[in-house]
This record gives sequence, C-alpha cells and structure tokens, in this order.
Amino acid sequence: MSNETPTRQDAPLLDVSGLVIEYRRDGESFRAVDDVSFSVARGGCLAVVGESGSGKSTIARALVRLVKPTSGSIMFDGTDLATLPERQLRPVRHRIQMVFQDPYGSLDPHLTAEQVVAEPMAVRGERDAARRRARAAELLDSVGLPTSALQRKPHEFSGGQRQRIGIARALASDPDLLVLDEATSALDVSVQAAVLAILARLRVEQGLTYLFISHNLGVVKAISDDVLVLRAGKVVERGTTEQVLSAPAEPYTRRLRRSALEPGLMTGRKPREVVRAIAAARIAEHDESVTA
Amino acid sequence: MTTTDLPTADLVRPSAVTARQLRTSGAARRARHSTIKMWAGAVCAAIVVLPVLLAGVLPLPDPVKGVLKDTSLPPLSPGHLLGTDPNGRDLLSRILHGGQTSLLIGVLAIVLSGLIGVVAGSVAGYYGGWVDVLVSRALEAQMSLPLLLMLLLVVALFGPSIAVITLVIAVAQWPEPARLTRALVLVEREKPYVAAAQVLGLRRPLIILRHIIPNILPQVLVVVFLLLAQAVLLESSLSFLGAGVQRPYPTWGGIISDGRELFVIGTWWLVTLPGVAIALLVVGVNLLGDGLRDRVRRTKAGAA
Amino acid sequence: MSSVVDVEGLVVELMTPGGIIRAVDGVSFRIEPGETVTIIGESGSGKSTTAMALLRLLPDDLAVISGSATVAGHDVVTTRKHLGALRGRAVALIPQDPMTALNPISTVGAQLTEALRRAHPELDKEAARSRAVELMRQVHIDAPEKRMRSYPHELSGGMLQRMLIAAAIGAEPQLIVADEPTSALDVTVQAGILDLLLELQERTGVAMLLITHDLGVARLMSDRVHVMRRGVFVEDGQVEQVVGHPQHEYTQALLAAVPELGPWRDADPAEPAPTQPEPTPPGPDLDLDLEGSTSGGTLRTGGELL
Repeated sequence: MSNETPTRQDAPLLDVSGLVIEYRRDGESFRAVDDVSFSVARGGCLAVVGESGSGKSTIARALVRLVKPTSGSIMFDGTDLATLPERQLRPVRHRIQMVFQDPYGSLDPHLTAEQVVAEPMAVRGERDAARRRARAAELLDSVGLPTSALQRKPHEFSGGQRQRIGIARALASDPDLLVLDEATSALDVSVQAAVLAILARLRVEQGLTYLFISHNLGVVKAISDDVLVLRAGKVVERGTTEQVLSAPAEPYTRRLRRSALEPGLMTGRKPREVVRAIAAARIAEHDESVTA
Repeated sequence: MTTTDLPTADLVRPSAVTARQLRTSGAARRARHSTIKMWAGAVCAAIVVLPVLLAGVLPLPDPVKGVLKDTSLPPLSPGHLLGTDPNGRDLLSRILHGGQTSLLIGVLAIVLSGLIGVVAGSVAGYYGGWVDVLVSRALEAQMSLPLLLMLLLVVALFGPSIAVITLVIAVAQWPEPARLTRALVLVEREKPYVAAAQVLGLRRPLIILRHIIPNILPQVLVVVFLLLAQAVLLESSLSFLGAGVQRPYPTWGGIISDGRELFVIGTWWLVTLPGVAIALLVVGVNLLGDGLRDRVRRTKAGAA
Repeated sequence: MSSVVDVEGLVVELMTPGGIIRAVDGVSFRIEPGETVTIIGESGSGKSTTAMALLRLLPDDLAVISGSATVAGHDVVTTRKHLGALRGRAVALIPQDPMTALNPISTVGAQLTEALRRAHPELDKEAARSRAVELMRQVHIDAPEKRMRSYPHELSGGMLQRMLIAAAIGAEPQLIVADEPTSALDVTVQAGILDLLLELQERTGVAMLLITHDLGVARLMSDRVHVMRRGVFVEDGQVEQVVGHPQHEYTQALLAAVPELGPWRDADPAEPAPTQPEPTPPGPDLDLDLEGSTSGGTLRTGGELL
C-alpha cells in the first residue's frame, strides 16, 4: 500500500490533523468541522463531546468515509485515509467500523441476525457458509445474545438487543478501531448500562480502540480515557476524562458540565413551599371555576 | 429481572374492553376491510381469469369460424350460453379466447413496466445527481403525454402486433412504479443500515440490489399488480378503436366495437357481456390490489 | 382546595392488530395546586400513555379508558363533554418535539395568537397580538416583535419550546402537562427550559404533570414522583426520598444505572451569564441556542447547591 510508513508500537493508531469538512448548500459553504486535530492511542478510548451542530457526528462519518474531508489528514496506522482513493480504501475499510445511534434503523429489516452479522465476513471473502455461521454465533454470544437469536429478524428484538447485534456486526470485520456514534444515546438508561459494560469488556478482550461520540457526559466518564470537546466545528478543550470532567478549564465545557443533571448528587431546589403558597393565594383570590 | 409487585388484594383487573368496542376498533375495522376487499377482488377477478385460463381445454366452439345458421342468437340459447354474433360465432368462446390475448398482453406489459420502473427508480433515487434528473424528467415527460393518442400513434407507425402493443403499454406505464420506487429508495437510503453497508465497502449496485430493493419490493409489487387493470383497459381501448390485434382473432375491445351498431337494434349481448368481463376483471384487480396494499402497509408498520 | 388532578385506578387498554395491550394497568395519583408530580419511566412503561389518556388524545377506536380521572374538577374518563373547556384553557400541553408540534406553514406568531384567542375568546386580534409579544418576553425570547413573523423551521428547538411554553401559560391554566419537554433538546438548552418552567411555576403557581425518563430532570423539577414500569407504579413518594432512598428494586436499579459524574470544580462560581449572544456561525442546522436568553446559569449540580 502506498504512503504507508513503518509503524511503531507506541505511535497513535489514529492521528487526525487539521481536519476541515465543508458542505455546500444553496451556493453557500458551511464548515461543519473547522481545523480539528486529535489522536488516539492504540487500545485507548477518546470521547468526542458536543451538542448538535458541533461537528462530532461529521467527524465520525469522515473516519469511515461516509463523508469526504475537504482538507486535513486522517492518519490511520500510517496511512492517510483522507486522500486515499476508493480502490485503495476498500481493503482497509474493515479496520475501522461504526456502531450507529438508531437501533431501529441500523439493521436491514429483511435479514436475520445471522445474516446481518455474517455479511461483513462474506464481503471480506469468507465463502464457507458454515464458517460464517459459526463465527456469527460466536460474535452474538460475545455480546450476550443466545444462538436462538440467529434466525430472528430485527423487529423481534428490543432496542438494546439490536444495538448489540450492531456491535457484533461491527466486530465481524475484525476491526482495529470502532467509531461509536452516539451508540447508547437512544437506549433506556438500564439498557445503556448493560451495553456500556459489553463495550468496556470487548475493548479489553479484543484489544480494540474506540472513538466514542456522545453528548452524555456521564456515559463519557464511564467509558473513556480522554475527552475532546467540540463546539460549532472547533475544538474547545481536550484532556483526560478526569481533567475535563472534574476540572473543566473552558467556560463552554463548564456550561456543559453544569447542565448535566445528576440525580444522586443534586441537593436542595427552589423552595416548593413558595410555589404552593402562591398557588393557594391565587385560587383563593380568583375562586376560579372553569367555564365551559 | 424481577417481577413488579402488585398489591396482593388487587390482582388482575378485569378488562373494560367490550366485544363491541373491539369489533369497531380501528385495528379490527382496518383488518376486516382489507380482508373483505381482498376476497371480493379475488372472486371478481377469478370469475374472469379462471375460465380464460382454461379456454384451451374447455369444450368451446371455435371462436373464429362461425356457424352460419346460428347467427345473432341471444344468451341462454341452446349450445350458446352467451349467445352468438352476426357471423354465428359463439360469444362465450370469443370472450374467453379474447381474454387470453388481453391478459397475456396485460401481464407481459406490467412485468416489463415493473422491471423498467424499479431499475429506473432505484438508480434515480440512490445515485441522485444527473441520473435522477434524467430519469425524473423522462418520467414527467412520459406522464404528460396523452396516453391513448400516443399508443395509437405508435401502433399506426409500427403495426398492431402483440409485441408492439405490449411494449407500448409497458412504456406508457413505467413512470408509476418508477416514481414510487424512487421515493421509497430516497427514504431507505438515509437509514443507517445502508450506511453500514457503505462502511463495509459494498459497491453501490450491490447495496441497491441486496439491501434496498428487498425492503421496498412488497409495496412496489402491489402497485405493479394494480397496473394490470389499466393495462387491460388500454389494450381493450386500442382494439375498440381498431388498433389492437386484428380480426378475426377475438379481442374484448374488438368484439364490443363490432357489436356497436347492432346494439340499437336489440343485439345487446355483444356489447354488454364483454364489457361485463372487462369490468369484473378491472374491479377485481383493483379491489384485490387495494386490499394487498393495506396489508403490506400494515405489515411494514408493524415490523418497524 | 380540591386537587387539580385526581386519578383513581386508571386503566388504558389499546386495541392493536396484535391483540389488546394494557398500557396502563391501574394507576392512581393526585396533583394538588402548585405541585409538580412526575411520572418517571423508561420506554414502554406507559407514562406517556397515561398523560395522553388524561387529555383524551388517544383515538376512541384505539384506546379504552376505564377507572376514574378528573382534571380541574371535570370527569375525563366517562365523557368527552368537558374537553373543550379543558384543552388549551384549564390544561395546557407541552409536547416532546417542538418542531413537529407546530404548523410548518404558519408563522409562530400567528399560532401563538390563535392559541391565545382560543383560551380567551374575549380578546380581539390586536389585544391577542400584544399579549403574545408580552408572553414571548416572559419566556425570554429576544426581539419578540420580529420573531412573531418567523416560521417554525427558522427557529431553534429551544426557541420553539419556549414558544410552546408561552402558548401554554398564555391560557393561564391550572395544569401544565409536560411530556418529555426537553428530550429533543441539547443539554445546555435543556437547562434553560427547565429553569424557565420553574420560574413560571414560581410566578403563577400552576401545577405540573411531568413525564420523563431522565432522573436528573425529575429530581430537579418535582415535588413528588411515581416510578412507572409496565403500566403500574412501583414506587411513589417525595422526590428526595425516592431518589435518595429508593425502596423498590426497580427504582434502585434505575438509579444505579445512571452513570455517575461525581463532584466537580466549577472554577468560577461568580461567572455571570453571557450578556450578549455569541455570534452564531451561518449554517442550516446549527442549534447553539443562545437566543438572547438571559436566564441561563441558575442551575447548579454537584458543585453547588441549587
């Protein structure tokens, strides 16, 4: 493969530099990602945090080449993915896979779970159906789904189960890097915890590297080593999870942090008795009865 | 996990749903309506289609050669259930054999228009850009042409053979499945499972064929089926105007056309009975197709 | 003082193609004037169905409602007679997705004015219009005169939600039903909206029925909570009690599943709220939502007391 330099073990797996992604709409161009740089070590987990319009999803899509960067470089294990032509990209694609946000749209509805998980293997050339089936069963097992799941179709599964199938599918390509685009955001809180646990376990077991896109700081804290905070396409703050979440330096990051409501820690609130007294007074005053 | 504990005194509350409410509920009504439609449609269509299919094996008099002594017999005459025409040809036999021609042309036309429509609609919807512009403008141009006049023109130019008529009807009908396919593909294209296939590196034609088309096919097939009624009507109109398959081969339109002048002198069966056959088939196909469309839509919604 | 909402043994059965589903299986609760009662639940728990049933927003050929429920003193289960008096007048609804709750081909000003005139038929067009502008100011929408002429797609999610809140309070209702009011919004925008709701409640004393899956939102907004699962309430109580000392297994599991953020150092506690909106870069789907809101910054979690 051209422009591949010999890799050292301690070199980052992913090194993004000066990434710019522009869209054109009605003649105007709009910068979704504006000069973003970051790197992720092999086996690490970098969370990219931001609200809508921050560009985090665009970066995720650029990494798996669903969107083409306007400029900048995406060095993945020595190869610049940003400028790689399609033909040369294809053999490398399996090394970066994505887990999507919406469990209800991310699985082809007319395929069985087995077919969904086996497809990446077939694409990579595995012709033996029995081997594909065995590996699919293995992968589904690794995400906590029983063999009876193999023949079922997506609509027979719950949201959390569908996400697990999505994870199994991503793993079927034998990737080095998983891009998780709000992978737990659409799940119920109890299910989310289970899926996060699976993801944490798999990262260690399979030596994976994660890029975790999220707007949920609690989830970010649970799973990531480092955090990158984005706003309107620009990097606002970066650091370890500990640093950014416990002692954020930037005002925007503090605002994000402040807005994260954590039930277990919240104490006191606006005096409710005042509210109730006002209500009582108002009713006494107007003696309101609803007119038909 | 664990079961929720209900207060023990308060076990299972009896249902407040009455049988009447259940019967008149939206879900039940819709299911009933689609079932009724499908059955009614199937019966109407079967009344016509089954005998037509069996025309070759039923003991029918020759549809082309008439018996001169039996001219213009009314229906229910001995040996001629539906009567005869001025040439002594049995009407039932002519209707059934003519139906074979009409159905053949109709089925071939919708298969062809379905294929063209799905392919054109898929590429237009998936690739977008100039492909979409090309297909969409062609579609719109086609739909703005007056159908029957166009058909007459082509037949006048190329002759009224079965092949030409089939082709012409197919070309007239492809916009409808194409438009629907394009719209459905546009929707599917945005779904993450398509993105997942792209991330795998699957080439676009494969994504369309393997992932998108199987998910939209049921809806498109129903629309293509509904086109059968239109195709048969078009063929009958053509033969009525004299541009269909030529005499002496019977066609529904042709029989009606021949019987037109005789209608006023009381020979009503030559016009009415083929007309009834056409009507039954068209109504049957429409009802059946409608019912199928409701079913398909509900299955899709339920599986979401 | 009678309750604003009094529900006893409410059951909602849905007649679906797949059979009869009991979405709500006998729930009872009360809401007193000025109170905020929250129903917390995950997807499929029946919480939204409960609220929809109270407002009779479920079609009659789908849902069969039994048990008893009164809203502002009117029976809503056995009859639809009183709905006209309730909807948009004594009861207001703030829905989950502000974008789809508004008519895309009508200006927000027109829709707000229409809602006001429905609630107060005595207002003429001009009076309704100026009241609308005033309400928009109350919900901290800047340049309200200008915004009146905007269409929904031109405004951000947070602003639209503020419009809907304006419409809600314009009716001077006794009860606001808020169905996941901030779930579709960014987290910083959410803070502003919740703050606004608290502020309005403080000023008008309106009662609120809040539906949410977010325990943090529930903790912030509620007096009392009901934890709902599969159509029944599994735990009820004062919010501090339920969140601080959950009794039921499900509640405990739910709280345990919320990822912990832990305390943090807010380096500048006296930092003032932004006094001018930061420049919004051009772009079709940017939702920075500073909107000239001047009420941001009153929420504190972890680092400080509320």
